[in-house]
Amino acid sequence: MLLASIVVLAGIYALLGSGFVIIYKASRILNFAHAEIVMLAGYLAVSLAVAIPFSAASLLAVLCFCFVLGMSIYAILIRPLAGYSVLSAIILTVAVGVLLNAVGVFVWRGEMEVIPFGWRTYFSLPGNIRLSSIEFATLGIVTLFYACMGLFYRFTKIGQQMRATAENPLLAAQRGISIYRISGIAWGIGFAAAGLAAFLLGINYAISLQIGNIAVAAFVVALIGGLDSLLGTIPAAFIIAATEQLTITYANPRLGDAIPFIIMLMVLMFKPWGLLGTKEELDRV
Amino acid sequence: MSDHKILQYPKSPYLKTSYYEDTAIQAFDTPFRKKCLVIGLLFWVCFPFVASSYVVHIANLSAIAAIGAMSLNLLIGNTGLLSLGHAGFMGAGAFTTAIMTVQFGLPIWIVIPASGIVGALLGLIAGLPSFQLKGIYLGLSTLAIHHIIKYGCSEYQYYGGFGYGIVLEAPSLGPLLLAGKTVWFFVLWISAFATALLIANLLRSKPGRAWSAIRDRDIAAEVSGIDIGFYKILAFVVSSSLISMQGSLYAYYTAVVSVEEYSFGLTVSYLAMIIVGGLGSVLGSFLGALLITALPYALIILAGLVDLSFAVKEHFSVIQTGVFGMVVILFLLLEPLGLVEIWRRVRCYFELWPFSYKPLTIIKR
Amino acid sequence: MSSNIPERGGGGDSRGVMSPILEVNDVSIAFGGLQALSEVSFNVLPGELLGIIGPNGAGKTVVLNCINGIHPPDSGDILFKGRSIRGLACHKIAALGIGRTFQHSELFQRMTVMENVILGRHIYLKTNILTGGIFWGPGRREEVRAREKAEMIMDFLELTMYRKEKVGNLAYGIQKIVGLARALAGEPRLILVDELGTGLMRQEKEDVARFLLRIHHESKTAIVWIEHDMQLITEICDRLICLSFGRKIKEGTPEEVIADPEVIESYLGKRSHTVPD
Repeated sequence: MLLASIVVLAGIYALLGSGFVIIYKASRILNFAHAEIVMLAGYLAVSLAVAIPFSAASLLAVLCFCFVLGMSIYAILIRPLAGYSVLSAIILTVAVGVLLNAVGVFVWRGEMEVIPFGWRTYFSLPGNIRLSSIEFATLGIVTLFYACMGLFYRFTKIGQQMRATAENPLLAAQRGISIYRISGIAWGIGFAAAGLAAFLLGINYAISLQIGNIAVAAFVVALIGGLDSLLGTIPAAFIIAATEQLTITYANPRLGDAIPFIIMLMVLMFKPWGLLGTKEELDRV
Repeated sequence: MSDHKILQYPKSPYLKTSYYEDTAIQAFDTPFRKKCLVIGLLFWVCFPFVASSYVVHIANLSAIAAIGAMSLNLLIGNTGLLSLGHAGFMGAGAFTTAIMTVQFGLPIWIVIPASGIVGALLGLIAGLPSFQLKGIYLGLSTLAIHHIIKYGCSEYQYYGGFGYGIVLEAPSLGPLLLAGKTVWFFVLWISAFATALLIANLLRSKPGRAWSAIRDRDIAAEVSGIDIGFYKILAFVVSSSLISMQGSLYAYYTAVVSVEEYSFGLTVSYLAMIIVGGLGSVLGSFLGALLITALPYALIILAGLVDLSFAVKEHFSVIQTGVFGMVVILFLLLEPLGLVEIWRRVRCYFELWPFSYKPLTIIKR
Repeated sequence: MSSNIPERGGGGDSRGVMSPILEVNDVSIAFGGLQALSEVSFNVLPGELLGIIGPNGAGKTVVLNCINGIHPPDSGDILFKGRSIRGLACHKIAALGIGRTFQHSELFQRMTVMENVILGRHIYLKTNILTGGIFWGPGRREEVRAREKAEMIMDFLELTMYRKEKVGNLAYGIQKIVGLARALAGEPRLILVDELGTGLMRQEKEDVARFLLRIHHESKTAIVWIEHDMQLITEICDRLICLSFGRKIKEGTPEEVIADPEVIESYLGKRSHTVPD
């Protein structure tokens, strides 16, 4: 039971972390508004699930909404800040988060809601593990997402342009890649990943104002995996989910909240670029 | 003799005739500015007796916020080190106060320096990663330290059985009982001015120059003989020690210490203050602290003027949050140098009037 | 200009007696697969003006970075006043008396010229957090003294009219001089000057040459000067070193070095040319 919950939580963490990573890779900005996007997308999914009977359709609508939101936030707010210090960009995303949080609370009143997902049957696996259908669906969706992202980065033109931009924006721009368009799309995809994660959180647990805390832990996941490594989020998500669940079960929940940050501090001290991240360039005189 | 008389012009207030004079703080050097200072001081002394207790309360909160903003600005604006953990240091100060007063019954003049020392130690630990980390990575390590401090505090609050908060008694400084908004007004504002003076002094002497040099170009700073590791840690220690003492003052002032208060949101509001006020400027910290602290209360007053629907009134705190976010975004996009730049422009306009050429500045951060 | 210069070196007879202030012995450094320097060695005598020339990418700046401690060398040793400074931290090397100017100025853009120059005196100031925070008594007196010294240097380099300008607002040529002022403020025994003349107009270059000569003659500070302007560097320097692809290919008087066929080849390629006169 514990193992199953760790795996499911790790899947969601990985998904949330990948949102950070996709955005950071393209624009070198850490999106502190991620938690609020998750909350907003979650509530939107709840409302849509009530309105539209097909969950796939409502999921698609949420993803589209998040994609457009991500692109527009990039175009309207982040892009004008190009060339400013890292601090400005951070504060901007934090402020966007504050604003979105206010919008979310104002519209949805901050109540706790669950996305109705119909059937929930249980499957027994060897080794005394029971997984519900929802948990299977969650893992399936996460795996599918990673497969899609892998193929996207490897084979599509935009994906390759994104990799080029991540490696060297200046050179990419000189080769005729519109780095603003690419970053905008990356922000869209990153937000869509957050929307997907919100949907999965909604069907597995519940959507509430505190959902953002989970996104904060995911942010630790992104850092431990390496801020520019999509693949790194998977082992990092497992590490965080496992330690967090184990401390909550065997120690106390307050330590459970703090443990991801303790791990993050240790990673920053000894391996600052994360498990699979690339070392960022030093200055040259 | 008459020739001699012609030459006796009154000395220009802008003219400095010794380097000693030139090292003074330039804010109050002309007769006009001195008059402004005197009028300001008179206003300041009269303020708590004239204004309503509610307004004095806001002013007190602004003074506390100003100390915090100045200490954060010292780190971010002057040294160029990102900290996302200042709420943690503030909480550490507040909890040190709580533990020392509730459990050991120590007086305020021991508790506040002790909080400063605790803050300095935590700052030392938080500053250690700055040896190898820069920018966002450093910010994240301080965020982690914030969460660890918060965890420690919540454990204390939980096992101490304090429920929703630790209640403190009003402290007394000698014969003076520090209770009531008016007394605290003077205590807090004098602390704020003292902090401002301390930081202004540091900025115009060796440590401040070293910090600015590290912010602008760390390799060149190192080659000029600055031990950048030491000065980075020093900036962390000074900043966190100040904000820790501020947390202690805040705990005494509100008389309740609760771990929920020292969340990441508090760091965000301090960051907002220095962004809105102006990075690297003591005056900017003051202006930003005033604006951000007074904003929600100003909104309440504004809301009282117009007739609002019930739905809006019910979620007024949400609107306050939203406006806060909006103000920060607008400042970042439209006036990234903050209120202090607006202030400078206004001052330049009047100083140069009737001419309109502005002195150059770098529009770069 | 050269007609105004007195006898070169300010005392050539004593040179044989003096031990070198800086000895670079077989220094090698590689960045990844690139061998930036291979077994470079040279000496700098006290009060000497040594020029380093070489085509782009020859490793000239890397030599200075090695001396400064920005890049500790992989092998070899660097002795300053007979003491090994290899592996010492940058700021400690600076405190021993090695000043440095940078190719792209690397100034503190948001500080004024005056603050930049006073910062150059950092190693001499004793103000700490306490005396600085009080800024009354010793802290302030020291500040005034540092200011006096800084004013002398600014006066020497003709920067006084810019003293309260933010460095970022100044013209490129003036920024370079501010860089020199900052290095001089530390009263170094050896200044490493990296392409001070690059990107300047003729007139500014002559100013630079004048300043360097004055430093050379008046304070007897040893100078290691990297420059691309051949006319400038050959007229002024006591000695030249030519680097190419991380190796020292020639050392000697300016006339010898620029007449050397290998030096010409490193600049102009394989076909031999006559020396441009």
